[in-house]
Amino acid sequence: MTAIGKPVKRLVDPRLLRGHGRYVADIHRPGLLHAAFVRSVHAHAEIIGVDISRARGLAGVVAIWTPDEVAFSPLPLLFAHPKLDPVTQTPLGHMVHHVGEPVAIVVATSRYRAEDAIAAIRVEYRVLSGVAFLHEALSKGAPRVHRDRPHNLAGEFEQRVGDAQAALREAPVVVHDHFEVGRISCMPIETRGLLAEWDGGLDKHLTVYAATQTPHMMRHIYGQYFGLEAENVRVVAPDVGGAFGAKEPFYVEDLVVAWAARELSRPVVWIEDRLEHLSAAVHEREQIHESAMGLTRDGRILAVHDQFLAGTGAYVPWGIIVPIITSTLIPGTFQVPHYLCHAKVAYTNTTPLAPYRGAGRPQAAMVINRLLDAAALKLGLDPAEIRRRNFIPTDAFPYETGLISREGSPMVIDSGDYPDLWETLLQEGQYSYWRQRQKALDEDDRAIGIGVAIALENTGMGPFEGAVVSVKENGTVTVATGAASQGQGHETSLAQIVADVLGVRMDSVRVHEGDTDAVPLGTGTFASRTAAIAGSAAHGASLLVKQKILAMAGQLLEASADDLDLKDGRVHVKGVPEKSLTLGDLAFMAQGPFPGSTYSWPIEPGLSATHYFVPAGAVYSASAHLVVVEVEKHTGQIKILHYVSAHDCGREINPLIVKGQIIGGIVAGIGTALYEEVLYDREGQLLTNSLMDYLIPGAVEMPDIISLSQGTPTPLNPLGVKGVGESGAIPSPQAVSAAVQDAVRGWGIAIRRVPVHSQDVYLRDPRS
Amino acid sequence: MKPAPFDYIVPQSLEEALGLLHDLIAQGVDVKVIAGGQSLMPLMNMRLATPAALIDLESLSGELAYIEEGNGLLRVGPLTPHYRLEESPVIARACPIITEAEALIGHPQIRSRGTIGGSLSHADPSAELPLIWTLLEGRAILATKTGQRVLRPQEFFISYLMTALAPDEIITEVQLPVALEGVGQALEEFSPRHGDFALAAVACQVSLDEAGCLRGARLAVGGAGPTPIDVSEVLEGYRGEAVTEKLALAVANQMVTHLDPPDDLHASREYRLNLVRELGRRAILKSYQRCLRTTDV
Repeated sequence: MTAIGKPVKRLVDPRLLRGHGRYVADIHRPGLLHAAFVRSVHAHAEIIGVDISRARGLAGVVAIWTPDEVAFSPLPLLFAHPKLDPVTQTPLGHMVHHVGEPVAIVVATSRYRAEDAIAAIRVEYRVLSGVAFLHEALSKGAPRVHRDRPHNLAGEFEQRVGDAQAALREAPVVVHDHFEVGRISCMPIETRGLLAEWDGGLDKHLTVYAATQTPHMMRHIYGQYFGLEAENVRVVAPDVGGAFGAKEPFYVEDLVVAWAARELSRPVVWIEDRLEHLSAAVHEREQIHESAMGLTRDGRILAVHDQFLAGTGAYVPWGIIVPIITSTLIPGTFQVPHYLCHAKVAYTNTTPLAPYRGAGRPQAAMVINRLLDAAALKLGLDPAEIRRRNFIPTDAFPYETGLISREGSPMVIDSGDYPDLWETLLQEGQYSYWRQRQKALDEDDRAIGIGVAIALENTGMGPFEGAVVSVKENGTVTVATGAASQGQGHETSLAQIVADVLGVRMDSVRVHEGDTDAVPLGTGTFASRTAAIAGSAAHGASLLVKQKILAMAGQLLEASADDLDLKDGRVHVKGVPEKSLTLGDLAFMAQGPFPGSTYSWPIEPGLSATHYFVPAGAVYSASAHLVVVEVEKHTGQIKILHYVSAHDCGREINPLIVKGQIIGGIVAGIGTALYEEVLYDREGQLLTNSLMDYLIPGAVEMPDIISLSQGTPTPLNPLGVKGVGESGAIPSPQAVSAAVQDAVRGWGIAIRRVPVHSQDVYLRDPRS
Repeated sequence: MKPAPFDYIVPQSLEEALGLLHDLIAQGVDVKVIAGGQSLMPLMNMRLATPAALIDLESLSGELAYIEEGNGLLRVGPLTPHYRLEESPVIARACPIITEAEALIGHPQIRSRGTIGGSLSHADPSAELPLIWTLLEGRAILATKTGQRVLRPQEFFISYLMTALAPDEIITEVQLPVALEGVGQALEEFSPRHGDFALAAVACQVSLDEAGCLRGARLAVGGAGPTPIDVSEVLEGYRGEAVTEKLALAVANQMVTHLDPPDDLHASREYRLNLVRELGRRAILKSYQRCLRTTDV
């Protein structure tokens, strides 16, 4: 049986495409009430009073809570770090620190009624000065984001290998760079949302259906807040329509909605609308970098020094993971003997930042690839060639980088073959053909540009993920894991893994995810971890079940385990197909005979096993992109002519799903490079507060994308699998912006910021 | 993103609609008419518009959705949805620039619901149909309970999203001249994504004299001010001259001196002017080329 490696169509799609998905907003409960939030219209203000007198009497309004009636403790800090001075959000507190922060909650018989009440509520603010622009946040005399803190620095840290400053002083060739990355919204098609209901009685029980990436973490936080044992909280992530990081942190709404349901003894649902998503769900990317690279005259890297400022918005919903990831991944696939990265993280009076697909890695890819492009230009080398001269050699793995990774341990790259990945990209992507075509283009109203970039992705991080694999009486195999799918196709790829181990058909494997009652402990779905970690857990649990099957069948068929084979849902004696048992029959017998009898099987009851996979360290995927763009001189219109990706995610469980992830990531990356940006004015007013102004690229804007696979298996998990969920999004902003830069270099235009828009690259018309 | 409460009224005839509108306005009710709802519904969902009552004209589609050609005039019912304009062979022959424009208007879902009357009434200065209606100096028939009047584009459009439509008035017909044989039309626009409102758009219509030189000259700009702007006078100044790249550039350069576009999130004033210049140049040359093609036939 070899389901692994086959481009099997996703099992979930027929159901979703027919409209049979069941998302939080599809769940109904008798007596269900609807919540909506009054949100701050100011970036920094004290709430003097909230007048609810008109709203209270409106039809359908059940309850309103304002800062005067409640006192919540601040949200728990996720991902503490010794260098982090954390401020987490206080639900419905008297101070607001960004536009869109919840001020009060209204619960009503419908969302319409709740919004009517919101329109009738008057909030009196005392507006305070604040700071919205990242580049001003740490300036001397900048207004303070939090009045009770002396400054706006949230954290400051360094990564150091060797002595980069000394090496730069002595380097024969040095290039400098400065660039900024704009702020991005995660923007899943399904926004956030949750439905909370309490079961009464002495032993209170909370059930929450939430569009979340992290059900077990939510369960833990609810337990802490409400003083409940874990078994008295159940968090279920039903079908979830995308997340990309937005559904990873624990938000004020998550707490307050569950709290309101308890106060009212009624189920309460809140579904975020698109306007709320833009102002209240986390953003990411915003960073400003100053960097330098020292090289030998033949283009070998001697040192890299990067100083950057990362925004975290008003709070730290996910620690300072994003800038830490950036700091560890700048050297990427290259040998950098001396490296210094100095990061400062600043608070601003804006929506908080936390990981979005890619999580700090696209920024890291920009730093190193931009420096290499600058160095290539200075040295007269081809951008493809300068990278060749600097890759970590293929025989150097496991490669000790000398850096400290995000989990606090030494960063070791497990496996890879970057020279081969690079040549695959250049050859299959017809790099030299496009260079020739670029030179041959003889039109004065347009130019062609070629961008290349390569990036490293640390994937498959811990601490662990578990899987419970069980064979049912009817032969169906169930797999329960702590991961939660938001559309990644886990139900298919995990089924492929289990089907192979147990010798059953894929369609007899059912994957249950996102339910804290289905598996006791779990971590969640983020950081490209499910295939590597939950996949390995499912693999391990399946092997344990297989052992049970063999032991039991061995006794029944009077054969040793070595003489047994699992195939088509049966276990049989090798060469004697008629001596066989179905897995379903074994599962029935393993439940034990009738009550009062004696259990005589050589295994513990139940054809089921639990396995937690604890990875020894991150596994490193790599991806390289080649992009060709055409830029029109007089309008600045940017058109992508050619897009090729080559990636290494180890062994591919399902190449179709891998390809889908790669393309999805690239689409996101093109958005980051050319279209999407959350903008504030200096006072912290959100300027891009609807999809009229926050531009998501559509299918028409997307080029055909060629996705190539390499696949160097990792030794760190039994499947040889590395993560791929974010890969496409990582080198893409750099590859695209580098292509645009390459096109407009001749017009004297320098690109120092993404997204890059047509208006940044048109040539002011000399004919006028 | 849920609208405030409103009364929803479905009239059975235009006469009834106008009567209701008149009476409600007289009672001081904040009433609006709704057609395809492609602009009004988002405004209501965001509570930027909170009318107390809506009169839904959709029930009048039988009466007010039509495309008719006669006596050199194209008469279009205000409830005609975009997709019918897009697919109409009458439009393709009598006013091909509308066919060209429709492909650029929003997405199929929007074109399925949105109407020509709605587009003019909403009066977004970047929208395609207001621009073409301005280019071609069309007419709109506006009716109230007590009478009707005919307005030209310059009289109808007042400013951003503002028209001369009185609160109790409904557009009952949109009129456009039929493009005569030998006329060339072109629309050039630039938007960041397909289907977006244009950052700038230029529409042009030319015809040639027997010597192949410029005779009829119409030129209008969208997205560069509070309304679509008729800059035909610039092109008219070149009547009798040969249409060349040089002429097109000269007109384009001159055209932008009549404009004062704003800075906004998506385009600076300077970039907009640059776009108008380039799009204008292209539109003039393209309409000229099309002129030559139809004249040859």
